[in-house]
Amino acid sequence: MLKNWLKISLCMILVGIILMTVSFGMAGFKSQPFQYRGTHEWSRTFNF
Amino acid sequence: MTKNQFIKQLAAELTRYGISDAANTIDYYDELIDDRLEAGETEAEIIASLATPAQIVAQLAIPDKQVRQKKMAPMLIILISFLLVLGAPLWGTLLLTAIIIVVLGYFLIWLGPFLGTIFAAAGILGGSVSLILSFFVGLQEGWMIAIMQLGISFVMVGVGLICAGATWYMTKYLIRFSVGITRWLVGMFRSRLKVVA
Repeated sequence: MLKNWLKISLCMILVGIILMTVSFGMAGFKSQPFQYRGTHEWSRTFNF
Repeated sequence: MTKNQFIKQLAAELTRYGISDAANTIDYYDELIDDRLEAGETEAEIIASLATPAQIVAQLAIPDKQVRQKKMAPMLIILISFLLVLGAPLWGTLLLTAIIIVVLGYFLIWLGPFLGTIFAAAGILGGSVSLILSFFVGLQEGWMIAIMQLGISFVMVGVGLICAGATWYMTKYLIRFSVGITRWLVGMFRSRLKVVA
């Protein structure tokens, strides 16, 4: 018998995969729209 | 009681109490009875006049124990101290190695729950933050990206929850296992100490 926490976890993973697939489908099954295009300077974020 | 019965009973009592000079005691009473038999007394008369084997052994047992403790204890202490100092480079390193192995064993056993906790915390906390922030991502970057982030967040929280549950069960089992193995180790150590003492 599956425990509740395991059921919730598996449901969340399933929902997540469905959402990711939907989003990927909306992008035309191409990864290009999700690639980083910004100009953020990480040296400024981690400027020790 | 005959002479043979008396000697047998005396020998049994001496063995039972672990008297060190049992042979001398038996020889002494054997000769004493023989001498008095030669003098004309009967076995029954002689044995009736003597203390019972239990009484003889009880009288011998107390001083014997005291003498043994007084004589043996300082010698044993000196010998054990000498051997301990002399063998320190050997037993010291061996003891240290044994302690390190035991500590490493515990560390390895608890590495699983430790890693599980880290994965659970990272998954649940990171996923939750990402889930909330995906709304703002939608406003700024577009809903396609936001849905992807939402999906990743759901997977992260789900994996985190699985890790948390697995860690919970693993910890419960390992607590019992650790207590059992610690009791076994302590028991083994105590029995070794008893043998040495």
